[in-house]
Amino acid sequence: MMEMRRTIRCLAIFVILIILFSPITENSSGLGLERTDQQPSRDEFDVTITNLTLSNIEPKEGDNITISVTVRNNESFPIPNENIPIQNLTIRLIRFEQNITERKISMEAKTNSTFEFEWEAEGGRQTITAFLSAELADSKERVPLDEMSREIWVEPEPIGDIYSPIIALFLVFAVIFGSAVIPSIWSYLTDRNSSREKK
Amino acid sequence: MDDDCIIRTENLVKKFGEDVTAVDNVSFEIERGEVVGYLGPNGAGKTTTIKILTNLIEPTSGRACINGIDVNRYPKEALKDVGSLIGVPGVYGYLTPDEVLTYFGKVYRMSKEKIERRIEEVLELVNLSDWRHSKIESFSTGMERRLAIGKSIFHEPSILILDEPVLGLDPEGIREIRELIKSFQKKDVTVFLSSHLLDEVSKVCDSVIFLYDGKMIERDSVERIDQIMKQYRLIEVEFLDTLSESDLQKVRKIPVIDEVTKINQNKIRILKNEGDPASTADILRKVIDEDLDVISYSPMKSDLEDFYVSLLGKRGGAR
Amino acid sequence: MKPIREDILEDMKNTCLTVSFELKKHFRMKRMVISFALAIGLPLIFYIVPRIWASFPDTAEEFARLNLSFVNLLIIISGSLFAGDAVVGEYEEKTGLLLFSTPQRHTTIFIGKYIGALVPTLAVVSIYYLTTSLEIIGIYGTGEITSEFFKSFLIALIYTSSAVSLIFFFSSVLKRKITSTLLGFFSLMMILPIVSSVLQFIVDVEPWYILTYTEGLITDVFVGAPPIGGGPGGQPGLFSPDFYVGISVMIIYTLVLFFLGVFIATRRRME
Repeated sequence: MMEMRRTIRCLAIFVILIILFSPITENSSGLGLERTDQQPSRDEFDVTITNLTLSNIEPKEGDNITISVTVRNNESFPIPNENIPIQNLTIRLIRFEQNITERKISMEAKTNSTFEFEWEAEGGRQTITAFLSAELADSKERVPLDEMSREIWVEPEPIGDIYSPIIALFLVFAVIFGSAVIPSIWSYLTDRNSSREKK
Repeated sequence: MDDDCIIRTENLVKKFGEDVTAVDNVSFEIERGEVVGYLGPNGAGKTTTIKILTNLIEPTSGRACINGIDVNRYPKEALKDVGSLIGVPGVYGYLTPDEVLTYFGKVYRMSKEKIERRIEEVLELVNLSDWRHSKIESFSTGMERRLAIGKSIFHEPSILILDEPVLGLDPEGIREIRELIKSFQKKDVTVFLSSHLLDEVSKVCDSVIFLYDGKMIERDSVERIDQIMKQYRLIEVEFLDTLSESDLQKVRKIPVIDEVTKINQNKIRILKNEGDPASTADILRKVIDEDLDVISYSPMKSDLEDFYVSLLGKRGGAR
Repeated sequence: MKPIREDILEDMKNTCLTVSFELKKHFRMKRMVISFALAIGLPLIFYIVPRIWASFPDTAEEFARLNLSFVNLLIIISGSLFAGDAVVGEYEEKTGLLLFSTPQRHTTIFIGKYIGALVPTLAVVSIYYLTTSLEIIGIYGTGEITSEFFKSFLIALIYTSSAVSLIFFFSSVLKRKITSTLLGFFSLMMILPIVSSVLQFIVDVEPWYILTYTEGLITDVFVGAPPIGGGPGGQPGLFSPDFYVGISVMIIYTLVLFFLGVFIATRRRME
């Protein structure tokens, strides 16, 4: 009876725990993964990303994918240039707030240029974002200019191999079924030791 | 060691925790073909001793041997020729007697033919033939007990260890078990049975071991105990007034009286060690001479229980 | 005493006798009927319902993943039924007074009881997979039974062994059948998964050592490891078990709890 009561008490505590934590599990995507929306400051400089494409739209994990970012410089000056207010024009590719790669680029005035980046695909549904930014010549402050994103599904690699679970199962069954002989071996060894001691 | 010594305990001790000593330095030997009773009140340590002998528990110290083999160290060898019935065992309710006995027959390495033959014989013996293929959960307590007895003799063991075998049985069942045990005597089967029913034990056993508070206090043959009891006479005496300690001392000093036990404030039981009727009358005279007012004086026929009670009074400790 | 070879053979024979006795017990108590019915009925639900009211998933892998996500429930129910009273039942019902006074080592009896609980649970899981595979063949064709399906089956068998070991351990330690059965059931169904969730979502630590966390491998093998950031319908921040670590954890749970359970059971006496 006492044990039954203890069990019921433990179960009640865990049910209450489930109820308390269920909002967290439902909205786990809201936990600590806030994304800041960076709105580029387009007020001063007319340099934008016009296209973002991926060489393979149905890749598998481990495939090498070429990410092409097309940038348009609508300004009347080339970048970089000593006399212009922005320098170090940079494209940064990001996946889940982690850098894939980053490169400084240069562009002629009033031109479109396409820049290619290589990426080894990692599995799952994800968003690749290209950020275009530059450094202010006087203050050296980095300012965002534009961004563009593409969602992609990368087929993950099959996990594990077939042999490991076979070996694991064999090991488990061998140990369990083999353990039936341990008592007799143990008894034999203890008898042998005790007869040696008597001698 | 004597080759005929089938069951032997050497300085057997079993403690449960620090405070409880269930078996305290018990040593005895039982020879081939003997039927020995193991007697004592509830909590004396009988079942604990039997559980050690059947490898259900391990002793704290000492050894229990069957056929010279340490039971707890080599249970497979020691118990292969032992049938046992301990306490009130459960029986597998979802199975039938046929299935239960077949399993135990295989455990004892009986052949299929022998298992089949013995199932019929044993179920006939314990009056369960009609229930061979019925589920045990439908059995009464007495039927379960008879099945457990049947299981203990199923493999025709030469050693039987029985703990309170007649527990839960009706008088007819008790009589049948008594006859069964007597039949084993003729087949040279060694039987070690424990009971608190002294009367039952005296009817079937060759000798008796008395146990009290975990200690062995006496061992003797039933025949010799009967002879001793013939020498002894129990007399119950009731007095008019409450007996003081000095009154008891006066009675104890009377010659021929072996032991005086106080039953209540006004009544005593006298054990005298001579069966001569004249001494019985003499005791009455001497008690009256001590200025004690007797209102009832009843000589009684003493039996094994009386012997046991007198032992408790006389010895009061380990052998 | 006996030559060791004879002793070993006798012990193995006694173990086999105990196993067959346990299987008979499970059969008589209708446990096998209940478990096998679940093993066939559960997958059939995933066949009948789409057939009548909806449509089957596009790929066999999706169908298998959906179907096999419930095998864990079957493992827990069967394991609790077969192993919950393996040891404690002999003490509570006092049938041990008949069983333990026979010429057998107690160790061989308890090993036999463990195997007697493991074998039917493995059989139930195998039937579940067999039913699912027949459904896949019927819906998608024979070529759709992939190596991933077989991998999932093997992992399910290893997980079954670890679940049975856990419940067997409880059976050795506790004093009542109902307590050990319920504790085994709720440990796998609720307690360990809650601990695992708390570690993942609150403490942000991968609970790789929790047994129920490794259960995810049974279905993960079909789509590969859901990456950080989520797979189809996945959630950012959710960990996923590593294949080799997961299998190792299952093996450790199986063997450690098996040996502990047998050791504790043999130390226990019919007081």
